[in-house]
This record gives sequence, structure tokens and C-alpha cells, in this order.
Amino acid sequence: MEQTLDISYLNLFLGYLLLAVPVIIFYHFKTGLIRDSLIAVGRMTLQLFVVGLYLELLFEYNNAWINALWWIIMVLIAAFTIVRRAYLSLRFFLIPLIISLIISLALIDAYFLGIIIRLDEFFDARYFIPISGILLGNCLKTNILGLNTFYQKLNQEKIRYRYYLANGASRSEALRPFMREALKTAFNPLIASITVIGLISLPGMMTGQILGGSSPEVAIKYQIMLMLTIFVATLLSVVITITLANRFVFDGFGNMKKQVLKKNLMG
Amino acid sequence: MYTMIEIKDLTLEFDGHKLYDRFGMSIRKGEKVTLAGESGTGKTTFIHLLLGFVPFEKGEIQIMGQPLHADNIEQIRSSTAYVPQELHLPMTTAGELFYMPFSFRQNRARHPGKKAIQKIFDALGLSTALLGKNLDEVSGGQKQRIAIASALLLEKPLLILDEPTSSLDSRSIERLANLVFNQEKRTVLSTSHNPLWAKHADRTYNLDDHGANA
Repeated sequence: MEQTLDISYLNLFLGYLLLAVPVIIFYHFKTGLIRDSLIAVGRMTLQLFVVGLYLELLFEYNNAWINALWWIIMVLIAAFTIVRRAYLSLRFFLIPLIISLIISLALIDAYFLGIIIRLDEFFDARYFIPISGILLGNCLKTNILGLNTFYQKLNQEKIRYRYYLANGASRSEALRPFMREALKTAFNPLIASITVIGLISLPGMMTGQILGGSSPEVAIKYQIMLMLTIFVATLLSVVITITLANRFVFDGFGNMKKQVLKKNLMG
Repeated sequence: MYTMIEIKDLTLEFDGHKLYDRFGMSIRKGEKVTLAGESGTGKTTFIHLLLGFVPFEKGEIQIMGQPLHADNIEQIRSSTAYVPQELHLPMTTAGELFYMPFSFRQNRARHPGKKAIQKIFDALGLSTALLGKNLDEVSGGQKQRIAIASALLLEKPLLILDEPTSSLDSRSIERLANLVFNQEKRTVLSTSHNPLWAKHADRTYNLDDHGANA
């Protein structure tokens, strides 16, 4: 396989000179975005170099236990981030999210790496790390959207929920319309991106594989599998999280506990 | 069993002030009671209390002889039909609004036939053609009456209506009162400060005189 051409640090610096364009435009229109843009680029650089360092280590050792530990740490960080970004209480959601991410990710990783690719070494860093990372990143986005929609709507539209309950709906029947709306909100963007994939932009992983020397045919097959597994893993994680969390977030009368949402967002 | 609702020594604080202080009330089976009172006297909160949506600190509530408790709340709610003052459901047509409560497992056997629907719509001065219309073409008053028609056809022992007269003209109020208050076997608890409505009830209970502010 042909090696990808490296970018020297001097040339990378030349790349940063591109930033002069947004700086000049933002300055001209007095947008106040220059500081935020520079901080964002600074953070991106630092984060990616740190990620690069530990990925180097992971690839160098390529030890199943270390890779699995990385997987667990990523799941914990993702669960923590989802709870915070969806404005929910850590107390009620952290454990359900950790469990649901572990279940959905483990199942889909096993299917993709074990059954489809048939890896000899299931935890091989070259496959296990990037594929789990992409799945987890997508779970993060969809869970934030899904959980936020479900619990905020339930709080804002209490009248509707109570109307269902007081007319004989079981709790799961009364929650079903909210689940439907949460799934629509969370999955419409993903379905839309699956629909236009390849037409509007080349997906990141496919581009990476082609740059890395794979043939477009191989890259396409991986991309198809990746989109399918993202779809299923994210859907499983949202449904499992809400199902598990709902065992704790309601009182005996079916009312959502006040501590479930962050205080500033309670209606 | 002659008592539908029994409240003893109820104390409730809401938004930092005492809404009910050692409040008591009893409603007989089949009785039609209207709750009146100024805004802020807790009429809607009272209904939410009975349906288990608002926790109370002290006292006792019994519905159909059963204490209002988490263990039997589903059973209690299976005996109620409830229409809130304002109802915003994410539905397209008035028909979806009407049939929605019959989609719950517990109510499926109660799905009404064409004749029953026609009869109740006639009594309410509504056309059944409304059921095919989009909800944005239906007025607030019509929407409320469609939800009440649906609640009546559920044939539950306890009917709870929160401000059923708020969007209605006097003719529609008379029609609705004649229909609702002539349901012999059913207990009806409603909130309204409209005298046209209240005069049809067996009893009007003024929360101004009985709450913590009395």
C-alpha cells in the first residue's frame, strides 16, 4: 500500500496562514468572531496533537487490554458529555447512558469487526479504534438531540402527557408520542445525510482511506458498512438510554421528578 | 359505594403559599359538582391533585373508596375521563383528536360506533364532518367540544372537565350543560365561573370560601 505523503511542520504552518482570510473578513464586518475563531483553532490543534500522541501509543503497543481500556474511557467521556450537553441530571442519566453505550457499541463493534470484516484480532487498534470512535461520536450527537427532545418536551408539554394518562393510557402509551418525536428529531439529520452521501461531500472516513492508499471500491464498502452501523448503534443507544432512564426519572404517579432537568430549564 | 371522592384534612403548599389548609370535601357517586373561584384559587391544581399529578403534604384523598396512592393510581385513572382547558396535540385532523383516547389499550373495546358519535355531535351542535377537517380549520370551542364528546363516549364513571365553558358562547354552554349534567350514572367534576354552567350543577363549590385564603 502506498504511504500517504507527510506534511512537514513548516508546510503545516503555511496552512495556518489561511486563517488570515477569516480574520480579515471578520475584522471588516466587525463580527466579534476573531477571538472565538482563534481559540477554536488553538483548541483543535492542541486536542488533535494530544489525540495523535495517544493514538501513536495505542498503535505502537496494539494491546487488546489497552485498546479495551481506551474504549471504556471514551464511553465514559461520551456519557458524561451527553448528559451535560442535553441539560440533564448526572444522577439520573449517567449510569443508563454508560450501560446503553456499552451495550450498543459492543454489539455493533462485534457485528462489524467480528462478522463482517472477520478480524483475527478483534481488538486490533487499526480497526477497533477508528471504527469505535466514529460510532461513539455519532452516538454522542444523536443522544444529545434525542434525550434533549424527549425530556424537554415532556416537561414543556405536561398538559398533553397528563391528558393521555388521565384518559386511561398506561405510562408507556403516554410516553410513546414523546419517544416518536425524539426519534424523529434525532434521526432526521442522519437519514438526510445518508440520503445525500457522496453527492454533496465525500465522507471523512472514505476520504481518509483513499488518501491512505485504499482503492475507492474498498473505501466505498467500508463507508456503506459504517453508515449502516452508525444508524443501528445510534438508534439502539437512544432507545436503550431512554428506556433505562425512565425507570428512575418518574415518581410513583408517573410525574417526571423535578431534579431530572437542569434547574435553569425547568418550566 | 356511595362516595366518589372524599377529601379529608388536605394541606397543600404551591409556589410558596398555602393553597389548601386542612381542606375537606365529599362528592357522591353520580353527583355533578362545579368548582368556582377567582383565578389563583387553585381550581386546576385541585383537579391535578385528584389525578395524582400534584403531590400533597398532609391529608387524605380517596377516589371510589381507594386511597390516592402510587400503587393504585393506574386503576384510578382507568376510571376517569379528563379534558383540560387547553389542549395542544401534535395532530393533523380533528378526527385524530377525537379517536386518540380510544387508541389506548384499555379503551379499545369502547371504540364508539357511527350512531353514538352522530348522537353526541348532534347534542353538542357539532357536525361530524368536522372530524375530517384539519385542526387549524377548527375553532378553539369546537376543539374543546370534540375532546369532551370523546371523553363522554369513553363512558368512565368519573368525568373531569377543566373550564369547559372558556371558549363557548351561551347557546353552546347550555347545550353542553344539558348533555353533561344529564349523564345519570356518571359523576362530573368541572371548574367554571360561568353562572350559566353552574346553575345546571347539583352543587357549586366555591374555592374562595374554602381554601387557605378563606
